[in-house]
Amino acid sequence: MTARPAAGLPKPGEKTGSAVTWRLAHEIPFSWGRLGYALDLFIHLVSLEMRLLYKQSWLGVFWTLLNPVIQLLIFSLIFSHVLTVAVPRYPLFLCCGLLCWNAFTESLTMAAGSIVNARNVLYQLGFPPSMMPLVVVTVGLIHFIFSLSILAVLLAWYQVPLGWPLAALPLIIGIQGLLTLALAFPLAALHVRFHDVKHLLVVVFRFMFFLTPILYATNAFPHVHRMLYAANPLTHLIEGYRAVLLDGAWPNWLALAGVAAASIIVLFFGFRYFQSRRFQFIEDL
Amino acid sequence: MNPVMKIHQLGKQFLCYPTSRPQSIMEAAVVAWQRKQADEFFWVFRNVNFEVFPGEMLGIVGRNGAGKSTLLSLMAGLLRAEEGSIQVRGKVSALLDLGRSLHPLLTGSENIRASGLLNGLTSRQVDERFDQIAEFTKIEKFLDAPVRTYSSGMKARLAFSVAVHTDPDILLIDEFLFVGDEFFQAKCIERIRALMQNGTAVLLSSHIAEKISTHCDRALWLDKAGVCRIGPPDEVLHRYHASNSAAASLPCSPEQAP
Repeated sequence: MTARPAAGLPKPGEKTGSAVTWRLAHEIPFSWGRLGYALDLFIHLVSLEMRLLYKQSWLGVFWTLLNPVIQLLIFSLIFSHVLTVAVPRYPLFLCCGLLCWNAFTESLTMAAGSIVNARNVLYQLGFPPSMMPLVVVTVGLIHFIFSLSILAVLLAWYQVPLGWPLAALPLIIGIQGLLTLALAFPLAALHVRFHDVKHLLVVVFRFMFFLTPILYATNAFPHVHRMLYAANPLTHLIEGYRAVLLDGAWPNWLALAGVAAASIIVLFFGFRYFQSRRFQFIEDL
Repeated sequence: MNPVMKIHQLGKQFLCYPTSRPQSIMEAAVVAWQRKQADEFFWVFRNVNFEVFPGEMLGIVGRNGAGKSTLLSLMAGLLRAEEGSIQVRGKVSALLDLGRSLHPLLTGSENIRASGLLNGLTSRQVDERFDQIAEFTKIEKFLDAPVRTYSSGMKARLAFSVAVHTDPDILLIDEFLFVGDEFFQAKCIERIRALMQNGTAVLLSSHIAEKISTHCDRALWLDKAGVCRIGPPDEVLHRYHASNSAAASLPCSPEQAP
């Protein structure tokens, strides 16, 4: 041990080149090296979250599938036999909406708590807090893509012919991710200060579940109501999934572009708000 | 010699707890309009000026609540000051909270990788240094066990080993060096000396005056009145002790505790 006390140290003078420029202590100037580091950190955190979520659980990642399967069974049973909804291939129809809804709400709930739960990591120097919502939303999206296998099984069961519009599926998933991310930043920042956010989300989601066309189709309503539904971005996403997967038709591009544009605007302001609160996190936690 | 850190007219404010702190959105709305006239901030310290030079160890002394940890957090860039500026050159590493970032469910070696990344290493750098770090911990036998089974000393070793293998230009240490057993402490000091010979500046905060006087080249005293003195450790510590024995008879002011 004492034989080589300076093992692994750079030789004197070796690192002087990297340390010439002055910076403010709380600012990290942009560099390509920094971006590469951020990418490494991102990959690490995503894989960590994936592993930790189901660590020490017996069924592991199958919980991701089990939960929507049970929901599907219950809703299919009720709405096919008790309160009949006039939609053909109802389980498949339901599945499109339910998976999208679950992914959206679960990601947002997790994202809202992402900064509070990352309390320990926030004390690491140079750790960008904005990484946490991004990681949580990415993990949510990975689980969503994984849960699409249920949909694949149903599609095979009903022998639905799939066509070229399937190529639009990644795009719709991408827009869903963008929308989730846009809301994740401001919610995560707000939740640090007001822990009400999480409870509020539960209430809002409970209402929204029935106001979003998950269990029923939008064309079951008169025109005025349809206008209201159009204001809900999830409507367009779910209808997009249904068009692509059930009808083999291209989605409504205009509506999807609208959702994407709105998401980008919200993301811009939400991210700015998040960054402005960044130094308050440690003081508030 | 050129400094690695310049601190100019630094001042940090904190909110006064708990009187005005809104705990819910409702309260915030109620408080929002009367916010302006309420005097709810206090200065932890103000007008702090000093420079840190490469290869030196600067000790920070002060009573609880004098702002030692706050000062280190500001240097680390975790907090932002209301007044003045801190300028740094090069990479800052810190041991601000011992083992806090370790994940209890991950194994020791997974935690080395994780905290290497969180300390600013790229994954390639972590891979290169992994063996060195693992060897330095001297708990190689337990590296495959989850960290929740570790003792606090073992966690300290893990956290410290990673932090000193990140080539910092400035190393911030908060009360931490004196946690492990004396053998590990000696090893830490040795490693820190080696880093200092390579030009790393070390800032050490402690309220144990003896540690400061044995290890540090200079000492900084943060007083709660916002006075700050810097100079040779013995001189500064002498004044610090003198003020403490004078203040010992006075009751502790209530706004001290955060």
